[in-house]
Amino acid sequence: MIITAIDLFAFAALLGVFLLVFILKNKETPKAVTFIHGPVAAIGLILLIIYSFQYRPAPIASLALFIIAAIGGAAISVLDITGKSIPKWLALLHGSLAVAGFIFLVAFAL
Amino acid sequence: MKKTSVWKDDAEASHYSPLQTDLNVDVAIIGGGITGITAGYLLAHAGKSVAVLEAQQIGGGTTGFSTGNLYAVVDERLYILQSKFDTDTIHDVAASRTAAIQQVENIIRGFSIDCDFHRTPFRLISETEDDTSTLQREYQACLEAGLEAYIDTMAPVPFYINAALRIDDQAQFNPMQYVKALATHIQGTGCAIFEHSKVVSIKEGSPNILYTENGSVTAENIIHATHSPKGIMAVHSLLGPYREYVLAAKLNSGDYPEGICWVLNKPHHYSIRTYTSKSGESYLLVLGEPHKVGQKEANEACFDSLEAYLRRRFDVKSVEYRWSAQHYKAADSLPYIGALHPKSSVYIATGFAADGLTYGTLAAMIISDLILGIKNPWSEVYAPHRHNPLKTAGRFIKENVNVFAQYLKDIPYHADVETVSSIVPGEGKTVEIEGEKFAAYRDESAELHLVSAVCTHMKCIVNWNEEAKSWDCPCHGSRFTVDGQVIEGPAIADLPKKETNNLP
Ligand SMILES: Cc1cc2nc3c(=O)[nH]c(=O)nc-3n(C[C@H](O)[C@H](O)[C@H](O)COP(=O)(O)OP(=O)(O)OC[C@H]3O[C@@H](n4cnc5c(N)ncnc54)[C@H](O)[C@@H]3O)c2cc1C
Repeated sequence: MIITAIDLFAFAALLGVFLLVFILKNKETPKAVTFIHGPVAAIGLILLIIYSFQYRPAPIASLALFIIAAIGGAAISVLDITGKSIPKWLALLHGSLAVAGFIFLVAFAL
Repeated sequence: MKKTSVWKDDAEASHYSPLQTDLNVDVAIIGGGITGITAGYLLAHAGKSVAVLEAQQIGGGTTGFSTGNLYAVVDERLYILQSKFDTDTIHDVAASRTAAIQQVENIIRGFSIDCDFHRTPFRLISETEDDTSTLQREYQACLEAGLEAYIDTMAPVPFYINAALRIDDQAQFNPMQYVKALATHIQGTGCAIFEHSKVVSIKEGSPNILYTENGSVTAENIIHATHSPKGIMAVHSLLGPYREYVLAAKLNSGDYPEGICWVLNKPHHYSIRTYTSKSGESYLLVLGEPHKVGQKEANEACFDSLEAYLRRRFDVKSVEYRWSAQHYKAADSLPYIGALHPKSSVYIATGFAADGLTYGTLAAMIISDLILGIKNPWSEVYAPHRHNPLKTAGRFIKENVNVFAQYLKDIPYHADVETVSSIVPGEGKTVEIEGEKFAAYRDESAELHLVSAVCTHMKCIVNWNEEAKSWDCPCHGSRFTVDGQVIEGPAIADLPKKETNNLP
């Protein structure tokens, strides 16, 4: 389960980097990528939550980071879809938290 | 053949000046279609100060591109509503719609409006045994809804029928003449009407403020009488926008059928009626071929199918007019009429399907009662904040899965064409330039019109509407001109024009 979560987060991260480039260049994000990035990351997070309930020790640090990143991601999507400008710092923070969560998760799994 | 509605051609142009100042009124109404003008009349008549802001011309929205039928039943069938809700609900629907038709008649008689209003039978016609069973169910529902309905084996049409459901005393009129005439009667009697006054931003609160390019209106209450409410609202996730096509033809025989005829043809029906213009010319109107807005390529073919349908049943001499327009289907099949939430001073009137001349009038009656503090017997049935998760779920899921699928078509580095040079005159295509999508149209004089292809409502990619020469959003039905100006739908902002020297 944790390996599947890592795979999903890795895929979501690739798409996330792609989206970040659009945001940093003040361009419209391609919605096909946005709407794949979000659900893929969300499934990864759900798997991680299930894992954390089922096994001990749980990857608490990475789980916390991913949850905060997910809240940021949801806020970014709402801003994007409703036509408001996305603060670049928020996009960078969201990405950084997710990357940190990913590193912690890989370290935990190894 | 004229590419406009027979109503528009048969009505005089109105000339109301645009809003050029800042106003303060009790009620500001966005939209001068049947909903907005009727609400303006009712509220001004009750002593409220009212301003109607119309982006284009009075009646120039869907009202002026409808088919002018007024009936107590509904497009989606009473028996389906009954199975979703209950008998009380269809009773309310039939009673409220009958009252709205009476309201239209009272207004016409009160102001002596010349708009070809006449009482006439409504018929739902089946041509096959199979459709007759649908018809029987509708007949039963009509009786249970309190309507006096009959089953006939004949109807005044020149083709074979299996059975017809008849309801007498329904009505027809010229909707454009009606709305324009009502507007002239209410202008200055507590109601100020402004044309070419597009609301470009809305500040909700107390008070609410509507901004147009050259003025603003501050109001205690605002009514979105724009068919689909403006801006981003949860209700848009409960609406499915559909486009339909209309032909007006002349017949060789001169034998035009009377009444409102809906001919069953699964999964929809064709709506047929006769209209005789002020100059005495008769036309046979046929409406049909619905599809989701922005989701039909080569939609000119809809007119061909409609004409073929008509020619199979009538001795068509020539097609004189053709037009298209759109309507919005509600998730639970009942329109959303009233305040956004119980304490809100913002009112909406939407989800009428193709029944909105009657529902629009009813919406004006309900909303004006709500604003005036008068108890309306039907306000709860249509309240926008009703909670019907089970009744709503089916269409809500279907429409929103469809919207999601439209978003998934916004694939990076992928558009209709790679270079604008491949777009021929009269054609519109999306093209990707420096990582962004543009909607490019080359007009007949080969000039290129380039605007962003990202809908300003909720960022779907717009699609080319070949027939209307417009950019249509496949998600929530916003439509834009080739230069990006909003035509209709929930979008408020125009598609930005893109200047770029770097054209592929
Ligand atoms: C092809 C077709 C045939 C139909 N036939 C029938 C029929 O026979 N019987 C029936 O009952 N119903 C029929 N309907 C449905 C009916 O026509 C509509 O539901 C009804 O006309 C809606 O009226 P309305 O006033 O709410 O909207 P509209 O008539 O669309 O008026 C809305 C107005 O708002 C204005 N507006 C929009 N945005 C702004 C803005 N930002 N600022 C200012 N103004 C703005 C528009 O310009 C427009 O004039 C038909 C629908 C279609 C598509």
